Amino acid sequence: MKKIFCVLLAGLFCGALAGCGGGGTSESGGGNSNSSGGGSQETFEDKIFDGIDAVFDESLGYYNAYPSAIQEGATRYLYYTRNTAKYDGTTSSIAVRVGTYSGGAWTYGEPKTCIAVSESGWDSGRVFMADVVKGTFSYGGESYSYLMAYSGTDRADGNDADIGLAVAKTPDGEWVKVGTQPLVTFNSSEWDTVGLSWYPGAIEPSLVSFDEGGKVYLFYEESEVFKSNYAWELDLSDLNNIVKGGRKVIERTGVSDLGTSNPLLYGGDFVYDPDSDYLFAARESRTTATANPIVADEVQVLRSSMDILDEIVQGPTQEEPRVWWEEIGDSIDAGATAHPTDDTRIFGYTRIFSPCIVNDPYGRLLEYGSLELLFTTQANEGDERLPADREDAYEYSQMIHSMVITY
Amino acid sequence: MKAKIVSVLLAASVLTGACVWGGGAAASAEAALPLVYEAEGKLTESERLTYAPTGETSVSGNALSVKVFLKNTYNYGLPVSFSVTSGDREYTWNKKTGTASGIRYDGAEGENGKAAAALQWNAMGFLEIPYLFYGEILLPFADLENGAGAEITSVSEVFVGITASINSNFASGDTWTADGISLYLFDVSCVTLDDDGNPSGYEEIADFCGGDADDVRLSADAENAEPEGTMRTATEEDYAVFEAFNAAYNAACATAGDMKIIENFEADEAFSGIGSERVASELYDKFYLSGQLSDYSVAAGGVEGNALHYNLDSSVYDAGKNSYAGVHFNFAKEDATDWSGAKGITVYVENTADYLVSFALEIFQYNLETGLLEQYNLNDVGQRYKTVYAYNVETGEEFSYHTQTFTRVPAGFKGWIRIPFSQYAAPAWSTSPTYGNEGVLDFDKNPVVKISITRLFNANQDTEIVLDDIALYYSDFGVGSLFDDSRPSIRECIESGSIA
Repeated sequence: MKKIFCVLLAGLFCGALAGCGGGGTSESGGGNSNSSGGGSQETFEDKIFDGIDAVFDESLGYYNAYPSAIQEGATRYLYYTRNTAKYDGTTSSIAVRVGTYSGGAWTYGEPKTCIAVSESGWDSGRVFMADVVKGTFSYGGESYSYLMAYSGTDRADGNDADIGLAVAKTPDGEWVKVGTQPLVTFNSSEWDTVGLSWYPGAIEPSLVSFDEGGKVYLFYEESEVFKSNYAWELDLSDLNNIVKGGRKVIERTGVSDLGTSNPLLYGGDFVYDPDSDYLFAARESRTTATANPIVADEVQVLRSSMDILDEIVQGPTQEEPRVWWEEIGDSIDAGATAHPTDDTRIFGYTRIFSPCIVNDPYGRLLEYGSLELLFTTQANEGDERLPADREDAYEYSQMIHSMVITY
Repeated sequence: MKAKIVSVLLAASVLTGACVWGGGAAASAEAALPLVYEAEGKLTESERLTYAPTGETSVSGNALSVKVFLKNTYNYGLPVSFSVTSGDREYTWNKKTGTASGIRYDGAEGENGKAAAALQWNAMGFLEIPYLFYGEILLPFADLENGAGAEITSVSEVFVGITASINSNFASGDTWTADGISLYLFDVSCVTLDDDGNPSGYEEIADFCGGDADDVRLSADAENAEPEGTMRTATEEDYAVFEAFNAAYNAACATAGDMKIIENFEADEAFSGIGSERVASELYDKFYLSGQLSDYSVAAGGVEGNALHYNLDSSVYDAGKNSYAGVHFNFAKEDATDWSGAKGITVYVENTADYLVSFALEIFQYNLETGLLEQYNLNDVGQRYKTVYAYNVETGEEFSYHTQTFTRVPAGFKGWIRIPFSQYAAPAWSTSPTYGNEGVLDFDKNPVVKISITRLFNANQDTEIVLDDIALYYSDFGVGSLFDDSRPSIRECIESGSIA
């Protein structure tokens, strides 16, 4: 029987958000700290809870979005996007929190910045949406064990994003950006005849190791007039000499709710299970919002044979496709995110997006039969519970939550 | 089995026509030249060719044999009508379904140079003579008057009607026009068809070879109108053109790797010895335009030699028309119409712009059962995304991507695009009963005779794409082979593949 149950972990160690002060030496606003980078004390502001707790707490004014997580033994590394200065979206960064498992729940430490915007160049405007994979990589004469792919742009609004790489020797170590140019470049004018429109660009990178060495699948979404997901075969053993293999558009066969002309697995995160040869994809499956933020209100998990990457139906045919996506488990929507015990949080969240599957360091499924999904929620613009003096407060209200899907 | 218009060798036909062309250049100097009907522009009215032998010619056979060569610039088929006068009455072949038998000559001497051909009657009662058809059209007297038949023992006149324009039952949104016609007339005989349709006992009614243009009276159907076409005796240059086309038609397509190249935008080897400006003109006259005024040229570029340069010039854009423009051509080689066993179509493309351009590679299958020219493209019901595959020859990258209706070409792309036939579908409008497209690509049964390259002005104005080597590919391939070499990459297919 399919089940969804939430992993109530944040609340276990920080049940009363307003009271979660002190502790730790986090960066500004991070974790349970209210101290700013400059040393001045910031007021911790509650985010809006309509359902289950977040996996960690951070003051309103700091967005916590686009999670990805790898788990090595009893340690988990949760990468996500956050701003480093309160209510300042231009200070975007990729942060990591180290999670430890104890008492049946994961507890996350303080945030540490992995990647910040560059002074100049392709990622000087924003950095966001990162994923990490373990392997063997060399760059500039050094050996590294962890590779990060992240989106970035030189635009302050986050559009026209490219995807670049960074490496580290430990998953929470010092991250070194690879070169000064992105790996995946996106130029909106290349996909628009007029050349005046802006598109999200190359976003949602997701990494899966092919050989536990340097060969890696880079999954990502290219969002222009057309919106497609790709799987790019790359040999990144020597990052000074990247070998680029085939870049394959991912078919959407079997995905029934996207209409006939939308192939995109919005917010797609990919995980591979070598035992079953299934490729799992977490995606945003429904968007009904008509007011800001216009994001999804439901996430779900799909799976398909890995053959979907190579499915080329040749020749004239009237046959049904041989490989397709199928939905597994139940979708996570407002109802699913209702708090199980708190009567004040029975409606759940109406903005649920950017899901990821917690995976092993190589981008593989941890355990067949169940998977933990991390996803982002966000308050609605104009929510009366947000500070009346900040119209943009909802932009800094994202939280990351966790639920387990069994199938 | 290969799908061919010409597929079955006639076993027992005996040909006695007075001027048998083909069989090598040596014959040319001696050959008596036939008559040629030519129409360079679009006819405003249908026209009629009338041959009246001196007096009534007695015949004892059961069918008429009309020997022609057609080089039509526009349509795949030229719709024509046939009738005879016997006694004081004119009888007409006006079947609206089914086929007429023919014998196609491929230029070789003797029986080996002949093969059975099926010519389609269209719904308007006209017989569609295929592009570059050279041979006999066999018209049984039993088929006269829409199958009512007639007892023909003598012939006093033979009529060939050339239709001005026709909205035939072809499955296309285009109005099919009968422009740019060169119809060579060789001879007319009465023959006896046996039970298998094989002709014998030729009784000559007319021998146009070496004849005078005045032997055939040309008239416009409209009252008091002057005919727009002309009748003349063929020249030696006409002969060279005919021979070259006929040789090219019967030559095999070139291959490269796993590709059979069905159009390379080069002069065929058969034309190499001629070199006249006219021949070059004849070759490239096979391309014709429709929709918005657009501009094409066959000039240096592409893979090697010549390529098709297709440009949409915004200065000539007519806002009152649909944005569509197209350049079209029929295949000059019969081999190019045989798509059996192919997995998909591929084309070399260059986009020199720093932004996306797009084009559609539409294919037209001639349904031998229904006589319909069925259109297929990437625009099917629901306008689903289609997947195409690309190999950039400059960067070496291979990738697949989605497109829709029109194939998108990334900025600066230079290389090969492959489109599996699984991505092709009949446009929704063409499957309505009005058009009757069956919507099934069946290359084992039916030939593909025409390609259209179409573009939209509103998305491509002032952009030129360069196309070269339109080919069929025959391999299962992978997109690159870095992680999996069980299937060859696109590059490997092109460089070292083969046609199984």
